[in-house]
Amino acid sequence: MIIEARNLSFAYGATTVLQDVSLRLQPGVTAIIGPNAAGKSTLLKCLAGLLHPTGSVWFDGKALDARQRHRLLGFLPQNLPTGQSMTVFETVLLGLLPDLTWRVGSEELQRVQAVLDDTRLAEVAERPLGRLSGGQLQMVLLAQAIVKAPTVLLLDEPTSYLDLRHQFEVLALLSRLTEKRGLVTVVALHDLGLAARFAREICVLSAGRVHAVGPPTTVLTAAMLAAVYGVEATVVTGAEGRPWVIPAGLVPGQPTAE
Amino acid sequence: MSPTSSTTLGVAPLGPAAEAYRRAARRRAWLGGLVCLGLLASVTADVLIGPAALSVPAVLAAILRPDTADPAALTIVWTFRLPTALMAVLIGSALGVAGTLAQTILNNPLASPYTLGVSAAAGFGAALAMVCGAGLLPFAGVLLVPLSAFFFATLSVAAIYAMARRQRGTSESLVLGGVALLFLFNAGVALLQYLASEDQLQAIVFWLFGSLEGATWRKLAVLAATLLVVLPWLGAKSWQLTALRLGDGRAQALGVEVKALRLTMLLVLSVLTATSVCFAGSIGFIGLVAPHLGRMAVGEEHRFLLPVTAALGALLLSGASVASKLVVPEAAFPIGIATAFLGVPFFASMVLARKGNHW
Repeated sequence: MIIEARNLSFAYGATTVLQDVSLRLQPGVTAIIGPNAAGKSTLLKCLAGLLHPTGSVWFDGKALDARQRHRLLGFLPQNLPTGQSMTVFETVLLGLLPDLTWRVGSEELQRVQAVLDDTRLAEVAERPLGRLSGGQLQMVLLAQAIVKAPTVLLLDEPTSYLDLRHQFEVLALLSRLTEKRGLVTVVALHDLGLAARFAREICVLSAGRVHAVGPPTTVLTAAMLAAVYGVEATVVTGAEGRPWVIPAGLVPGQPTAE
Repeated sequence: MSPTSSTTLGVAPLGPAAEAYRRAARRRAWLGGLVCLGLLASVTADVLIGPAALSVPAVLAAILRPDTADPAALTIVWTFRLPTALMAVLIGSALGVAGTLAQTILNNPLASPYTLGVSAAAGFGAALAMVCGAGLLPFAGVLLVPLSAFFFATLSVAAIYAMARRQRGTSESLVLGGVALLFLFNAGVALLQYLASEDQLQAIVFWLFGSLEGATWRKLAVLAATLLVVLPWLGAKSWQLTALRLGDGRAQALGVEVKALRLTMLLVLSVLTATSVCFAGSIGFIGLVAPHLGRMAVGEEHRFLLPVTAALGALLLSGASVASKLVVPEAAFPIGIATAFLGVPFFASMVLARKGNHW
């Protein structure tokens, strides 16, 4: 599957959030990075078909409406769930919408069980969401996004609220799944270190525009960090040739991010 | 089919989590059956008990062998007791389901059909008909009051719907619009009570209490038809409603068209509430409590929750009808008062007895 976004622009009322964004997304993990309000979440929602931008999105050369896209992709939004009494099993089962009917058959139950096993959530399957740790909750939401075996995964900051270990676990799982199933995985991230570690490609958004796209080594540069984030940093090459960002301070004379 | 999903016996054993889920689903179905049994017992008692001291065999004879039964018993059973008992079931079901929908689409445990001002609007419509219409039309009490109640209930829903559409159909906009209308129509009712004559005032107050007196087979047919159309359709939407409980953003990510679903459900709950209120007045409490008891019993999955709250709403109202006949045998005690007096302690004890949070 190849996704091509062509000249996407989107505005909330008078506020333009995306401007003429064009991207070609291939199988593998692509990280979308950028400062707050750069348009990362909006871009993911436009790809998911939840927002209707100008421009077009093509899936293997086909334009799909929201319903067709929903069958194809798993989307993990940033919002935390509100229904605290729903159980883990029920929450993951909901990921099979719109194919759920009044009677839930063995096949659906097997699929949920398999995903719970993969994400090591089977032991807490009967627990309500309100009694999970942040890491478990994020894992449940991820399980919900992958239970229908999508070919495209869109994830909006799946590691926020998580400690370092859980951040690593979630991204390692994503990475494994992406490789095993040949998924197109697009993940909005704030943590540049994790983006450099797990992404095949990084897309940098700045004020609704694509600032740079490419492999981590070419995108994560001191010049980009100064221009986009207003941060002075040293970028060194670490294990497996991946770049490491060591922030030093703010670029003098630049306004703060927000 | 994946290689793990079939064996030589045909069906692979489910994993432990899936088995536990299936057991929980069976338990929920059994609980639903239990509530239905309780309802059956309550309806039976409701038909057998009444101010006219009919013996049990006389009542049974009137139902089972109407050709040979005593004419007086026949009239009492077929004109009063059966319609009233069945009215309790249908109104209780409608209010229970409407309450569940209100709590789900507003994502608010305090919501009930009355939160949206539908009942207050119906009350205003009824009071207006009693004050202004009684002298104008001879059949005022029979037709004008429920029609006016239904008209104003529908009007209030149209107003909330219009407001919510402008505000992108969020739950907050619905609650705010509904509460504003609630106050407006309550003020309207107060004004009518101020202007009303003594007889009219008494009629308004009694109507606002809520009552199952005046149940007829025609009213039952309207209520039953409404429920027969609405309930199967809600069944088809039950998973989408369940997804809504995770919040708008997540429901959208699961492919639910949240705004359309919320506004459609607003119309459904309003039709259910308006139909109930226009026939039986304001019977509060059921629409708030039945959904909570339902959630405690069967959890969040609306494929279980909706039928169980329908049965629980029916059981609560039918039970209140029986209890009010036992407590005040000689008078038609307003059912709206009985439901609150009997239901609140029961509800409070259920909430206090439970350790976890069911919402």
